[in-house]
Amino acid sequence: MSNPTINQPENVCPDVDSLLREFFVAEMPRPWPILTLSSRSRARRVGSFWSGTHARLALAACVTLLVAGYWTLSGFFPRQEAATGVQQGPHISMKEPPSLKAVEKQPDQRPALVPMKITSPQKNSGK
Amino acid sequence: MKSRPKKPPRAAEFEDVYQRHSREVWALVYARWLNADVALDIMQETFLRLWKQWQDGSSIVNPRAWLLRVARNLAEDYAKSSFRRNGTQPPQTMNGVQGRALLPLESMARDETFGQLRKELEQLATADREILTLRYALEYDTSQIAELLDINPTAVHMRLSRARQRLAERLTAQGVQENHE
Repeated sequence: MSNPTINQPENVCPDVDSLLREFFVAEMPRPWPILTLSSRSRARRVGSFWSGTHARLALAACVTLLVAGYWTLSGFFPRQEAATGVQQGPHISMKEPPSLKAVEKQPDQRPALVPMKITSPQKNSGK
Repeated sequence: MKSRPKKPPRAAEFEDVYQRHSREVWALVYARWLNADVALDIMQETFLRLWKQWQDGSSIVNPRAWLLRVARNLAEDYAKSSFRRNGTQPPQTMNGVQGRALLPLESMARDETFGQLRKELEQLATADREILTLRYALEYDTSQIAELLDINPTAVHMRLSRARQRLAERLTAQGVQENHE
């Protein structure tokens, strides 16, 4: 499995191997950190699970209350069209459009245009 | 486990994965940054994420591949955060961060040699540094390195030889060999 050529490199100064080994071994943490597992992380996970469930339940309850309140209030105040007392005429879209002949016969009631005369006051005062 | 009721489920399996792969994860991150502390932090973060995945009920078919992939991603993410933290300060600013006060003479000489070696290692490609780290830090042979990195054993051998040759030339040119001896 091991490659003997690695431990006996060709054309390489033999000190490089020992120097590299010494360097990398010195760099490695000593002692190697020990893994310690406790049930704390699991307890935290359980807590977060329940808090999430509570939040969802609270949200569902709020939405339910909102809908129920809306229905209840709408039952107390029934919608009546005559309650305002305003006579509602036919809708504008229900009116029949005027015929073209009636429009033509109708005299033009707009005031006639009067031509304007523009005078400059400086000119008059000079004369 | 009945004998250890306080431990969460799958704890033994997780400990086993940690024992088998934590050094590999550390080595790959170290090869990226040449910083043991950063590698340790990212290694712990990687295993924490694996633990959370397991606690959430996710099934990971190959934990080793998953760990190495997450570690590589976290190492790349560290580049962005590191740039943000350090900004555009000159490199001399960081020289004293890891300095240890009042070292003995031998340790100072060794640190100097290691410092030069570190500079030369930084010039290498990350892939070469990965191979060197696995070879010298974890004492992996060619086939183990090839399996872990998913590359050809011949390529591992070639890259390893080339990297060592390059390092030897540069270090000799700087007189490191004489100092080291």
